[in-house]
Amino acid sequence: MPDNKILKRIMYVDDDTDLQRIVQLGLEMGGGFTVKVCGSGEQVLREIADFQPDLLILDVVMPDMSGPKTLKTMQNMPDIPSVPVVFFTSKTGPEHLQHYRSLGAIGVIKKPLDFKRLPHQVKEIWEIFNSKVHQ
Amino acid sequence: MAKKILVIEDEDNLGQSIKTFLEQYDYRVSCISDGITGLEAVRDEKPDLILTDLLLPRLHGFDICRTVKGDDQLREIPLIVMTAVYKNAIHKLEAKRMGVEDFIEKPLNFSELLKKVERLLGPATLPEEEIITSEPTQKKKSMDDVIQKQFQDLQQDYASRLPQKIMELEKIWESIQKREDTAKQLAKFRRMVHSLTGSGTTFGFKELTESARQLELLLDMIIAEGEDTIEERKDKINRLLDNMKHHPLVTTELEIMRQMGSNQ
Repeated sequence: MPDNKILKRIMYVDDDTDLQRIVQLGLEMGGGFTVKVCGSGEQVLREIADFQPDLLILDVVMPDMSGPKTLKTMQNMPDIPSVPVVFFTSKTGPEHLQHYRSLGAIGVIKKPLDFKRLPHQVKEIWEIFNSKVHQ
Repeated sequence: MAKKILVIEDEDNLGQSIKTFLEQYDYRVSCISDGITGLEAVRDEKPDLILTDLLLPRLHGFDICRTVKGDDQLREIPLIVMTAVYKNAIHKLEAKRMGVEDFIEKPLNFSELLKKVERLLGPATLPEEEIITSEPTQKKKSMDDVIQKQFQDLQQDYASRLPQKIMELEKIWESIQKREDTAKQLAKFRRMVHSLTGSGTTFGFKELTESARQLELLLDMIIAEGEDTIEERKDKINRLLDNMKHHPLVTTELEIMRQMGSNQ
């Protein structure tokens, strides 16, 4: 778990190439973060150890390996570093939120995306997470 | 002549973002992603300013600073160090002793970066008449403007690819109606429509994506209730696809595609 860590490196996972570009724009230019974009859960498993992100943003609906499945797989692989996860989804009803939290996610970003607000949303989730860790 | 900045940063995306950002302010920017090539570029290009990361492949950023500041030909070039790891006071002191002019912490705050660059370089050179007649600050764009411009480029590119996406949807829909590998095609169709709903709204094409949203709901019902219900929902799906196809944005792009095709 981070030690009042500053959020710098974000791995963002989405199979939608249009969203990839706009999220990257928002996070890099708007937030100043270093961003690595992945197109699938499988790519995350291959590249997360090298990139060492502070935070992982996972799209929920992806072919082959969904966001939740990617998270579960990561949790069962001891050689993969434990990284806080935020889900990116259009389903944000109370039951969905509860489900995502039960899987271990620290927050949810709602689709459709407002890319200008995105860096603030991410920072807010990160700060709340950090404050809970240090309570 | 615009002032030249050399960025040495191994995260290519970040280097590219810095380049895009500083070029909006009329600086000339080149990016190098490893230390050795970076140092060679310093010698070859003699930039007006060096912006370097520390943890670089092949040669550490501090070695670049030490070499530049120890070389009579190069030491006048101002250096800004981007630091995520080495940000404690001892490292800053060490870098100051080497002659490094300034630091900036990661994640980068682009407005802060611009301030630091301008403090060392001044605004990028303007033509003489502009210097006399206008305030340089009026020329500056805010970070929001820079992002907005990038967004508009992405939006335009997205719009230009919409007709292709819709034609592809029509093709998949045809094969679903012919019951060719229906389950797989339905899943593909639904995935594409879902993507269109999300990305279309994000890019600001709300009317178009409203049709996609309704289509997505219909497809969810078909997937839940079985392929036998395709027939009864066929007309609605055709109407929604038609709405999407005849959206002014799509028809304009289709017209452009047709004209380009006939000119070839």
